[in-house]
Amino acid sequence: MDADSPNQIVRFNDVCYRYPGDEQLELRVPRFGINTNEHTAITGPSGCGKTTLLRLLSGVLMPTHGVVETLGVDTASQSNSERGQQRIRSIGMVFQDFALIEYLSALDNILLTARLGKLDLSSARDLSRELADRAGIGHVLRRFPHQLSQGERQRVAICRSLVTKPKLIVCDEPTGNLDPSRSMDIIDLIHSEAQSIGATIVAVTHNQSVCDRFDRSIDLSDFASLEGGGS
Amino acid sequence: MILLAMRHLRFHWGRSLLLCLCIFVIVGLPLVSRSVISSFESSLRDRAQTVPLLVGPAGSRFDLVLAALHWRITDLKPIPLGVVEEIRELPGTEAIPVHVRYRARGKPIAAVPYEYFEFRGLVPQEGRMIAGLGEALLGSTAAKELKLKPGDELPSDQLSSYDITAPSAVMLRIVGVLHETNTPDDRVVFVDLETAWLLEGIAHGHASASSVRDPDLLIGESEEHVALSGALIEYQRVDETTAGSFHLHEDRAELPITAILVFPKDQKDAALTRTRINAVESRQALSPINISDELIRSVLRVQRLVDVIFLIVGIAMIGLLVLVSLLTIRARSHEVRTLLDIGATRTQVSLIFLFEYASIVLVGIAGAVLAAWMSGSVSDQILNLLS
Repeated sequence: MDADSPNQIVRFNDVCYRYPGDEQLELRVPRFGINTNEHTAITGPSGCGKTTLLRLLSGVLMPTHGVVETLGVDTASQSNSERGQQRIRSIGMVFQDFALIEYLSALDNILLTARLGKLDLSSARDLSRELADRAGIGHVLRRFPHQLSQGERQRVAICRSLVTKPKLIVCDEPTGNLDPSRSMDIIDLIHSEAQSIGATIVAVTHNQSVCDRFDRSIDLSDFASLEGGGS
Repeated sequence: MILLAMRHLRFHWGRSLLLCLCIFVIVGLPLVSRSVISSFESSLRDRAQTVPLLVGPAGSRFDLVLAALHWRITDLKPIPLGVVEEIRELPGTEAIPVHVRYRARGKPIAAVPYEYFEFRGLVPQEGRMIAGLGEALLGSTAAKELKLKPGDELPSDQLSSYDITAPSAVMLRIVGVLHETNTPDDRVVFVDLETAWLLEGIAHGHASASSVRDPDLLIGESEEHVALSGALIEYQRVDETTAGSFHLHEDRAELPITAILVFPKDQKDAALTRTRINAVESRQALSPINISDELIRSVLRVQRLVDVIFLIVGIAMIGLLVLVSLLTIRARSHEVRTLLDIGATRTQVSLIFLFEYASIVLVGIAGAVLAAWMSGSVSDQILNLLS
């Protein structure tokens, strides 16, 4: 967690994030860093700010003050559009609720980031099929999310996060809606795919078995604090 | 973004279709009503401009114009054929009598002399012109709708099934089908005036009186006259064997007609004819274009009221659509957040919604314009349904 190491893919320096709607509540992260290729699991009790930390490091949220550097770039120095492009091209996002678009087929959901980023669709389509085959969902690519099982939906979400070959994969409770046996399959899938493209995984989880699969597991309360707030 | 918008519309096709229908109704109703009325107006004016003066029975001016120029069957009482000769007394004034009181399988039977076909430039595309009693010439639309061709037969509609004194139906022989003219002439069955009087029951045919020997049918006999019973069955079909037996029992000048199309030589003759005709209480002479304009003005007044209603309904529907759209956007907040989280810009997300609503509006408007265009071509049928 050395925030000054030159090999860091994510770096937080004296970061404070004040929650909109509750000006008293703020997340403080004095110093925090994640080394490249060091797969990191972040744990902590519910409501301690884990998801906020992920949204800050992926550039979805901007710190109230302090510096968040992701992939070597200060997120505050980028425009909304640049941050969006960085997320599409370099950061894969996996959510607890899968966050699939209901009216798109599994294949179109996987291709969504490529479409939004105006990437080469032909090669993205080929890669999507390869990823889907490896994830065991090659046969359901034409189905819609409501026609898929929970495990299949999460595999579609993982394929979507990988289709642009990102350098950083950010997972917010990726196994939160899955049973234990499926959870391990999903974590193994993310790890093997990250390995193949050389991506670094940062995941928030409550599951100790999941934490054990990561290179490093840290408790958010060890390096950050949530202060104030009426609730 | 277009693809995402299209996928959303396709996935929720029922909702999309409903929204399109709302737009279609909002835009389509005023367009269709305007198109129908515009077509009605031009049809009415075009037809009226060709006839400078119209003579008919006293009563509704509108009914007279609609009957004589648009073959609408009305309750107007007939006028005697002798009026035609009165009008022709003015040198150079032409007069064409018309009779329209009966139907054949729902189509008006228009009884006219040969001059009418010349005046309108009506020529058969199949078969030949009418040459005698009981023969009929079909307008092109009537032929299509009744699926009849030369050589077929068409019975006139029985006026009443329970009135045994009413003239019985007559079997008409189709001898030709006219070229399409896109006028009311396309929708009627043309016969000659004698056939109209046959339909009226004024002319009839039956076995020769001298050949009737049945005491039940022969009421009385003298050297000059024979009195036959009403039970003697009259012929209902005019053919080679019966044609010679048909005859009239009334003074020709008293035979009924519905109206007379009058073509005066000049303004002076027109004024004279108008004065002479209007001097008789039971008749009227009028200028069809003036009556048509009066009718159009009445229709336009109603249209303005309908426009106001459409406007109020349209505003209410647009308000509802905006409300539904806002609620839909709110219901899709999770989708919007997902798109933003994975890197879409706000512009891209806005474009998805914009394309969706633009597509719905465009399809609705396109449907409305198509409906308006189509309604223009079928306005005659629409007006017939409404009448």
